[in-house]
Amino acid sequence: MHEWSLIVFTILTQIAVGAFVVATIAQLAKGIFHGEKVLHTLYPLLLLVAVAALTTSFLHLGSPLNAWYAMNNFGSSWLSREILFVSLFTGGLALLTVLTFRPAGWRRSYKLLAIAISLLGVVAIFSMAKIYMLPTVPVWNSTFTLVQFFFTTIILGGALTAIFIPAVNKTEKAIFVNLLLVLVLASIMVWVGNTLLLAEGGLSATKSLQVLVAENSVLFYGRIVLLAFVVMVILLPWFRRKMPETISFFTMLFVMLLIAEVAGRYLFYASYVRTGV
Amino acid sequence: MKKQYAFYIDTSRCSGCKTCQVACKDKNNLDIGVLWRRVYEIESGGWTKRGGAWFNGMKSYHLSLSFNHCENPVCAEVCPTGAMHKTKIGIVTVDARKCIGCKYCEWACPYGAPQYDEGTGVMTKCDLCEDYLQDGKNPSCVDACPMRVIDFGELQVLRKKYSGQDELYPLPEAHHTRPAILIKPHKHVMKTGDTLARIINEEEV
Repeated sequence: MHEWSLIVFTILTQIAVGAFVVATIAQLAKGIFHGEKVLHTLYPLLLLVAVAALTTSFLHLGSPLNAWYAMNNFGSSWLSREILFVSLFTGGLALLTVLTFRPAGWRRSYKLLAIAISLLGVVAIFSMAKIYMLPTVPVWNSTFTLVQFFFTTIILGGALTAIFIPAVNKTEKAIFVNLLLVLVLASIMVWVGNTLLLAEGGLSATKSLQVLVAENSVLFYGRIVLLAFVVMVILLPWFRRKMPETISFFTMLFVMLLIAEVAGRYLFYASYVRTGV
Repeated sequence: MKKQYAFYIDTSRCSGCKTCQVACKDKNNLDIGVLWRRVYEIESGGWTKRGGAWFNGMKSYHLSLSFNHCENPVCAEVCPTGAMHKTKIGIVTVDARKCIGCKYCEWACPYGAPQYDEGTGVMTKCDLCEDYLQDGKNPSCVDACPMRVIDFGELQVLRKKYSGQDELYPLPEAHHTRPAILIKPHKHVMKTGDTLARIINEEEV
């Protein structure tokens, strides 16, 4: 399957939503971004990521000029819903980014607006996962799709946000590292668990399993090894002495996790086998 | 009650000659790679040796399949634009002016019926030769078949005329989309989900 445009679109959208939600929680709970200073870099960056995602999604279409009709079937198509909520999230993010740069007066509405945009983002990722949960595609039709999409969202979003935490917030950095550790461990377990469950499924599910562990074994096991390496980097004292929680440490974590998630998403699309013919 | 057209397929007589497929391509001027009607070649079993002799345990049959104009068309349900829709006379068809070519209907359909046309960038599918129907003629595949395997008409009428089923290997369970199709089983026919049966002309369908 040549679904590279969908791989880029889903991962970038999930990064933008995840980082925005994590940054909003961090800012509202602890105020760690010291007002708008860091947000002046983070928000435009996330906006760029979200716009790049939307642009890439057009490359998947055979007739992009008809995209105007894509929300027509909101009543029954999760694809319509996804497009609507991803657009609303991106629009909200654009608005907030502009407001952040205004000299004054934006702070009052910040909280409410940031929470609303976060919710739109979460609904967008939920809709995105529901697209793939088709009864006729057993490998996708499980809660695992939903869980995996939210894992990608929170892990990559969290790792990206962590790069922007100011140097003085040592405690918060430690919290981020520990949360990432727990999430990555959980995502490895869910990934392996779901793959094992495929063996219990019907004809199409076992074909999907074949694609994952036999035809793409290098990517499948490589992803697990890479994630295990991330866990080791965080846990082993030797690494930690060499690598304190600096910007380069978090950048390295983000890049490794990004590679692992892209590999995971590639496998997700590659494992598509529908029931019937 | 709403009109619901359907195909009747007699797999017990199908020789797998693919004339229906060719007639369909010709009538609808389909591009390379687009097959609204496909003939699946299915087999199972093999030869076994008992003592000094080989015994034939082969099972094989052909299934000609196009679009089933399902009672619950998942393709139309998931289509974001409403381009894929069911008409008043029970035909599921694509409005090419609205289709964005996202291929979501193709993912969802368990019959491989909606097919993407690389040239035009939109989905295409069997429309039961709607223009022929208006002239009171049969869809082109029906009259082309030399074995008289395919019949066509309103589902209720076909059900009175023939006995048949809507589930068999390699088709999915019928509950997914409730297809408007009636298939007379070949004596070798295998059940949906059979793990030993295989389609031997994957590269053709």
